[in-house]
Amino acid sequence: MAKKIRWETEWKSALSRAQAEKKPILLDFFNPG
Amino acid sequence: MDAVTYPNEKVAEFIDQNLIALRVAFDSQPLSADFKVNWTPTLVTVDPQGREHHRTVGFLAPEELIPSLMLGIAKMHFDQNDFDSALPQFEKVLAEYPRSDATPEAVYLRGVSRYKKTHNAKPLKEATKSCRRLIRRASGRNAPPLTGSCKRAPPGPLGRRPRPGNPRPLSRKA
Repeated sequence: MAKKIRWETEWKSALSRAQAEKKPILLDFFNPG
Repeated sequence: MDAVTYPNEKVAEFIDQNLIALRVAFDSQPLSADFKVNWTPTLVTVDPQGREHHRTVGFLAPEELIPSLMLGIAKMHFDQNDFDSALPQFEKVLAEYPRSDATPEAVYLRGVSRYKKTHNAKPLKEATKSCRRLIRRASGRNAPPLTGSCKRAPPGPLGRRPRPGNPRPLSRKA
């Protein structure tokens, strides 16, 4: 099964995960149209 | 990005293994103002403390997004003066994506990292020479002089140029 990106949508939860998993964040500002 | 790059399996796997992916609308406040976003897509590499280390603006194909993200991770370690972690990341960009837009900056910052680690100026001089070669190769003999970093490579195979149709202006459809 093809892998899909698991997007966070909240800054705080992304930051918490980044600290827990010791990974940087890819922050994508996009235009939802 | 949604049509081509993000569905790419290699991209999804790289992001899943190396990053926490966060996606927000360009007008999402206060993030948009905090990160001074004025065009989309804007992709920012942020450390777990919330500090920015790298950004790109505009569409990136899979073969450009992965090295750009690798460069962002390397720059995070570089900015933290963690050269033992930064150097293998810069090497990885150069080994796996030697002709990407991320290459000139990776070459230069690898040289700076080696210099900062050893205080030997030789790697820095070699990095500057390599940058000149890359820029000459990309733009012919009329390459502009370097201004201290490879970041300002001119448009060409190794420089960034606007992609038609992207990036998208900052207005939602009515």
